[in-house]
Amino acid sequence: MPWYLYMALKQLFPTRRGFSFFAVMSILGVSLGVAVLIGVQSVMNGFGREIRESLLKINGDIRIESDRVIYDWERLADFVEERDDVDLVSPYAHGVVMLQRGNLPLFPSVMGIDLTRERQLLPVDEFIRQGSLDDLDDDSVLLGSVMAQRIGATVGTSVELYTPLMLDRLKRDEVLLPREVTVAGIFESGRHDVDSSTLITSLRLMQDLYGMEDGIHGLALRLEPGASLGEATLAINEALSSPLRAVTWLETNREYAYVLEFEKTMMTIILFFIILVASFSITSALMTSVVRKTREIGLIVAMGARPFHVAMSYCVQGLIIGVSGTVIGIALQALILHYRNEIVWTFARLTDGRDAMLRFYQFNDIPVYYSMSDFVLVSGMTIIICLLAGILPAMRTLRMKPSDALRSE
Amino acid sequence: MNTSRTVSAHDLPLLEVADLHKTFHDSGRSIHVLNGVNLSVPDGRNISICGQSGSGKSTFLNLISGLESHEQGSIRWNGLEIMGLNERRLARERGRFFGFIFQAYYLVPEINVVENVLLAARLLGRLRQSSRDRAVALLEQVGLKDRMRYPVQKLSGGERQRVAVARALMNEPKVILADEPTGNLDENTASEVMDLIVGICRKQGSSLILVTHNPLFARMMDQEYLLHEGVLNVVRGGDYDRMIPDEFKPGM
Ligand SMILES: Nc1ncnc2c1ncn2[C@@H]1O[C@H](COP(=O)(O)OP(=O)(O)OP(=O)(O)O)[C@@H](O)[C@H]1O
Ligand SMILES: [Mg+2]
Repeated sequence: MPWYLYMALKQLFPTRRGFSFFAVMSILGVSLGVAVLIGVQSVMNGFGREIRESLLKINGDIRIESDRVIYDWERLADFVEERDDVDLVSPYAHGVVMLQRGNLPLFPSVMGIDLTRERQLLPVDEFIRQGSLDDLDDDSVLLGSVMAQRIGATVGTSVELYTPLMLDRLKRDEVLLPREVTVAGIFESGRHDVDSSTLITSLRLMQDLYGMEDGIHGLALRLEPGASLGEATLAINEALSSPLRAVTWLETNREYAYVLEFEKTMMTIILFFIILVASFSITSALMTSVVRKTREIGLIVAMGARPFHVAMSYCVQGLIIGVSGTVIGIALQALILHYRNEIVWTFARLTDGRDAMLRFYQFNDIPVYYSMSDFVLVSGMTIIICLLAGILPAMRTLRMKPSDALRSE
Repeated sequence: MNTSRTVSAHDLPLLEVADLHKTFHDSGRSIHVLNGVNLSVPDGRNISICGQSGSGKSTFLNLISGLESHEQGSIRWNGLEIMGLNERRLARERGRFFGFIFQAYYLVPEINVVENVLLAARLLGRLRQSSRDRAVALLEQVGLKDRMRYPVQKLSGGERQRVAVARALMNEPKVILADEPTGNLDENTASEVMDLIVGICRKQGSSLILVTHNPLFARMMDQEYLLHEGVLNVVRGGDYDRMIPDEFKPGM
């Protein structure tokens, strides 16, 4: 073992006591930083994946959209469905209506779907909380759970739907009466924005409400497993002519995905400051050690050590702290995440927050996803920061003249 | 005694200093510390250097060992001119050629007694299986074998200096540079440690260059020098010794 490594180890872990106070505190500081950082990242990854999955469930892989109503869509649907990478195709029509129950008006968006096809495409049944999809006919609707609660609707409640078509007719001095429909079921996707303002109807009902005859607004596609989203979208787009176009679920929810990514980046930057602060205290402690050991360093150089190696012994201390802090931090974080649900529930019980928690987060498990690239980034950055923390004191030793060092009081 | 000195004086000197000059420049002021110092130390001979405080004794030792650079003159270790050696070579040669003992002990507090002694070998990358045996043997010679696993902070000043002596001798140096090695010790401990240093250096075959204020200790050496106004003069021993009758010698 080169002597500078030996000295670095001995300064951190002296022969007699085993651990120096400095080593314990610095390694603890770094590992806490790493643990928090990786913990938060893993949980955010978990949430992110959960949300992506739910987005995918709601949207399907690809949509074919247009500015106008698409008539004669069966040909388009057949054409797309014949592609090797497309598994299923389902037409939809969407828009906004006014929904009224008693004198309480709401303006939900409406999704008109082809039930038989849609059921194959997306796990719609999974979302149903009350009633059944089978009861959905051309005179009934499915309500989002939040919206249903707001207007006090349950299965069998009847509501009135007003559509833009009515205004259109009014201009021609015709009066179209609101459509009375019953609630066939209540669904819950887990996404508040969807559950508070979405109405699902049959495609036929939506076509009636909007006076679209046989037209649709678009096609939802599911790809074969393993097919490339990007390639499929590109190929379909090439085959389509304007105003028809294919967009991926990622594009449809671009803001959402962006916000998720942005939040994670911000979180990472903020939490890196913990490690940075820990590294500052490492630097100052090492600097103090250099000053305290000035004469020892002078003697070591006199005894034949190269000043470069003296400097190395301080860099190595930073490195050792960085590496062990990272390893311990990751281990600590793995332990915490393993017991995360117990920890959170204990905390919730202590603060009587269990009900609130259940209300805001519709899951019992905190999702976690370990991303290798996060680990590599955090470990790499931490070790580099700690190494840099050792470099400043090391530079200080390089500036020392051994003769002055030996002379210093 | 005289005959043996005459014989060894014909050998290649272990350490040779010729016309050494050293000037410090401090905030525009020049301090001429050494003005043409000459010294030749034959193998196995011990010398002492006395001089007033601030006369440049420590500076001279730093120059001899290449820790400080000189602007004029030559320094040879076993015939090797050190002027112009690169940093790496200089460090290696110094580590092999010299052992250091200072007034303060400069033991490393994080490691125990025997590890402090072994550090000298470690620094030169010379740690072998046999090193430990040598370290233990040296500690035995300085009377600390039973405390080799002691933390150094628990030792007294005299004991610490003994450890420092063992450490200085670890790499079998040709020359021990001792700068007031007993300066921090009481009178009794000082002479004990001094006897020990002289005895162990003789046994290990290392020459001793001792800087001291104590005329008793100075007299224990083969030759005595006085550093005065930047020049090193022989006080006792050597050619000077034979030229001048005892009653004219200073300090005697
Ligand atoms: N790096 C330096 N810069 C400027 N002046 C210095 C430096 N080192 C030593 N000196 C000066 O050189 C002179 C000799 O110092 P040195 O330490 O060699 O004296 P000394 O003989 O060892 O004294 P003492 O017996 O008190 O230890 C002193 O005047 C000191 O101030
Ligand atoms: Mg001095």
